[in-house]
Amino acid sequence: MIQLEKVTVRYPKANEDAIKNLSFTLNKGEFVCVLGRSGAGKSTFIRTINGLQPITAGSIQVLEKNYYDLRLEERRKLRSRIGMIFQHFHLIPRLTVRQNVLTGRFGKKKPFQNLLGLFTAEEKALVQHYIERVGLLPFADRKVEQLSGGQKQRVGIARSLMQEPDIFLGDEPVASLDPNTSRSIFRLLQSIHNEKKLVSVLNVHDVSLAKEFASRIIGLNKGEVVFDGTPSELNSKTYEMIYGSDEH
Amino acid sequence: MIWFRKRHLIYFVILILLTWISMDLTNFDLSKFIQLENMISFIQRSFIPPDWSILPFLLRESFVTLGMAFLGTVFALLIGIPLSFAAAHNTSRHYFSYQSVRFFLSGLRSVPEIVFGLIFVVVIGLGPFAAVLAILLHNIGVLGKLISELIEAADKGPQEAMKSVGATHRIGNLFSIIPQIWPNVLSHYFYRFEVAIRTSLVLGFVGGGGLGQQIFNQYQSFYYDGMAVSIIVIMVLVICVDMFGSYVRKRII
Repeated sequence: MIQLEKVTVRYPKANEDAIKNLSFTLNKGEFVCVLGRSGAGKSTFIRTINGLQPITAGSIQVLEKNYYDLRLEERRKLRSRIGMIFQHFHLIPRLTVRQNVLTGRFGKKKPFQNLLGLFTAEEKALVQHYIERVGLLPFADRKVEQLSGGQKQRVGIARSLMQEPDIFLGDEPVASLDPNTSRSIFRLLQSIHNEKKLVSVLNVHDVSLAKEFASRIIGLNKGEVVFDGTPSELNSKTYEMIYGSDEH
Repeated sequence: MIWFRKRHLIYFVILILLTWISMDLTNFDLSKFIQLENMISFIQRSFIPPDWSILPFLLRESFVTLGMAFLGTVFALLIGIPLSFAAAHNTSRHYFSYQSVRFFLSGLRSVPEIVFGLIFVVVIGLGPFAAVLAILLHNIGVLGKLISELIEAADKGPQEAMKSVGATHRIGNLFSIIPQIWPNVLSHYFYRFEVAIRTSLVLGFVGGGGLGQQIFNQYQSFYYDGMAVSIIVIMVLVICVDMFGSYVRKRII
């Protein structure tokens, strides 16, 4: 579903590559957690998958399409099949939970339909379903700024679900949340992942979460893959490879 | 000195120098305040008591003034919002259009309403419509610039989220930015509306109609007690608009 071939990213004016020669395949059904120190290239890697971060070299096949061979409109369509949740939620302030979740549909509709709010009865029912799925039905018509961090992330998840994605990305989705809320968000993500048979790729700082939920862990250090295996294969030696000797 | 540095002293000297030069250029003369007594006696003699009999007529004229200010600014807002997206570096798609729109807005802003008013009065004739056009053109420049700055300062997160769901560039920008900046847009709008009421008075002096023209006529015919009522009506009008603007903004926030 996602195939990276020697993918390199270097930011403008940077002296070093943010990620170097990443090559691997992520398959349907895999729940992948990406570990690494701050600045290891985790966010850059996640963002290359849906094209938010352009690559400097290499190639990426996503859902059997090479993102960089596509025209603008086709890229947009491809992106609409990739759900993404963010550390700071990136919800639209002043809109309600329901309105925010509906924006997840924007990639599948014509601009004038989005502008005028012309959503089908099916889509409206779908919004209701996903808001209920993430446990926010009592808050459906509340403005998002009135919600807690955990609730906001659930809105972000529901928005991604509205895309009916094949791939689910998370750029440090629980980094701003307390441990209990983080765990409940991960449980929700895992159950959605299993239900929809997605490929999920999430950055995390909390190794215990990765070990508990991931089916595969990728460790990055200075932009390079230093570990790629199952949670059970993580040990003190692999920790050191990912985080260096002075951490964890 | 903990709080001040040497360069602050230089700034202070420059400020004093500029003030002194400006006072010299404008014939600023404190001794003329002695004549303040004359002004007070002039107001007491000519403005008091105000002639309230013309109040119904002035209220009708005040609606014309309000209409001019409202139409001019609301159209300016409607035209200014799309232009401001083209004039903001984070939403403009081409460098050329970005620079062109900014240049166009600067051009409109640099021409005062009174100059537009003088031109339109000649071109389309006397009356409030000329004033509406003058207010409209200047305010497109002002609101376009102010809103483009709000757009540039908007949180990039929601824009990124809209991009990631596959929204088109325009729809993504519209939905991720407008809700963020809307209270400030309204705040700027009401301020400009308030300014436009005062501007429409000046435009009345050059034939733009409304309360301004009445004040000018009253002044020219030494009808000062009528002018006193006009000034009171204007003050009430501006205060009401300010209070209404604050109320709407609070409701929106």
